[in-house]
Amino acid sequence: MMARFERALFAAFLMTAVAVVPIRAQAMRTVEYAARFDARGSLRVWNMAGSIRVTGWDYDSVIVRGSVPSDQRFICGGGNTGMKCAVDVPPRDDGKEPGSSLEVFVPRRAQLWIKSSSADIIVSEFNGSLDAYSVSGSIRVEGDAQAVALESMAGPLDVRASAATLRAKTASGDVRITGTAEDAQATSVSGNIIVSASRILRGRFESIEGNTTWLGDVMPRAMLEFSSHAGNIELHLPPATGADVSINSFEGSFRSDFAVAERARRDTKGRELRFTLPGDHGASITIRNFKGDVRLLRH
Amino acid sequence: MTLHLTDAELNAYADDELDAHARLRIEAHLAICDACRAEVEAIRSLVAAIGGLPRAIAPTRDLRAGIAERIARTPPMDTGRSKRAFRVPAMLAAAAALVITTASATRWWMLHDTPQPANSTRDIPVAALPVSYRADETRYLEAIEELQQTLERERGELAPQTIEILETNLAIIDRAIAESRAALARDPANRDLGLMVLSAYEQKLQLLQRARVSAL
Amino acid sequence: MDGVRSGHASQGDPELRLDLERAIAALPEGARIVLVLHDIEGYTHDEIAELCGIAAGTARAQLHRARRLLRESLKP
Repeated sequence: MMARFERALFAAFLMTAVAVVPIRAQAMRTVEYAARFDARGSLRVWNMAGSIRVTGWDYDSVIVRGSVPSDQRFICGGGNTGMKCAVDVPPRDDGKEPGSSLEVFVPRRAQLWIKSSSADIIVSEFNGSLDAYSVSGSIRVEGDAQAVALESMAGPLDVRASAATLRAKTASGDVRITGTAEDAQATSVSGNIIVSASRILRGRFESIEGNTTWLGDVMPRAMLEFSSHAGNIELHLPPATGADVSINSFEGSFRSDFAVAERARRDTKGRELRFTLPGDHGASITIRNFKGDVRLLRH
Repeated sequence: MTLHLTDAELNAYADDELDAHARLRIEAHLAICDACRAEVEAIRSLVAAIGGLPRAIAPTRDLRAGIAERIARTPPMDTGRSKRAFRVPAMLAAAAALVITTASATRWWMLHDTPQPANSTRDIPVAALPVSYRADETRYLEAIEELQQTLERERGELAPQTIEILETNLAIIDRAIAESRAALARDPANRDLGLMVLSAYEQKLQLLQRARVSAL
Repeated sequence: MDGVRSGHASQGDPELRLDLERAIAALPEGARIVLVLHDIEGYTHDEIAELCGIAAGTARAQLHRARRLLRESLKP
């Protein structure tokens, strides 16, 4: 069924010693699937537990290989524009399915959709659009993607990539961003958000109880918005930062290494400050915090 | 003969409604009067107990009908207060919003046999939002209610871990919604507070949607 | 006083809660309405006065009366 090209390619990969380590001491079997695939086709991968490692490459084909528990099915199907690969997990009482480790090679500019429960997800060298979802598995993205949308209930999200649009949302996981984005949005309920050494043109960072930390330069004409209910918001900015800053804080404390002119609201609790950091970036920074603390520190 | 404090004084003190001068006067009496001190404690305990009641008791249908009737009979009042956008006819919409919030707040509680945790939104009184936010709030509440009903139906398809994470974080968001709502009701002209309330609702909606994805 | 209150008294004990609910339901209508609006729904005396078409002083008096009646009916 596979063309000679793919068989050769496949053999080449089988020979490279990539160890696939079983997650638990139980009967596992090796699975492989390879097929031609459109450069911009859409691939969906399901694996509930274990790990999913996706690497973008320049071939117009998809290869999925891995190690799956013997009592679970591994199903791949579809055509060269839309393919689906799933580890089919039979229901278990304890909810602790033994995991599969899957390795996926996919055209760099494909559309990728990955879903896991506790399986950790790593995506690298991928330049297309990525949607990844997990319940507790961690999700890490490296490389230059076009659009990245990550969602998790409790899994930590780690973005070391650049993307035109970036969405990273968790309930209780931490969100770490190091990279470049035209439009970035990170939200968390109780997890922390840490944005470091990032070039972000439009960014919105929201948490309810988690702490938000920004470390590093602000891009020229960037528009950054930080909002929290009870978490702390801390910005570590280089001294030469230039930005119009607006801070609205209701019950938390405020501290700044930079000179500010406070303008308190009349009649009500809280403070409202507006000031300009005199650099030439022309950026705008808006901070809203209900009862967490706000800090502007020199980086 | 020792004169005791009046009902009005005892309650006003218990509710922290007195100005500094009056409070000092009352405290001077309480310092030497066991009976009045006990009364204040009793009032505070009672109010705390009432505050912890399940929402189902309030307001009753009779109560709302009574309010609506009285509002219809009473001409609109111009109290000359610019601080609050509080107009009697708007209370009808507020009552409706309160009912929806009630249903939303009790939903997850009803799924369990165990009592709801102490930091739930049932402990926090629900004040009406300023008029300009109510349409948005009602939309959110309806969407959230619908999602919660769907999740209840699909509950069997969710991993126990998902449910646990969902409930923990829902409680956190609900508390944030209640706190920022209360602040906005006291300071209706504060646009940033309004944004915070609405974005908390948005977070709640997105969290419920995220939980659903794990079942699909 | 901000909007956060902790009702630990009634929360741990379902029986106490039931007694309290029954006692509130048994209050005379005017007193019950004001109690519910103030102590449960968190409206101020002025707001309740506007709502119910009564004077703020009357609203206060009704609230205090409601609380007194409740405490009497809840005595063991």
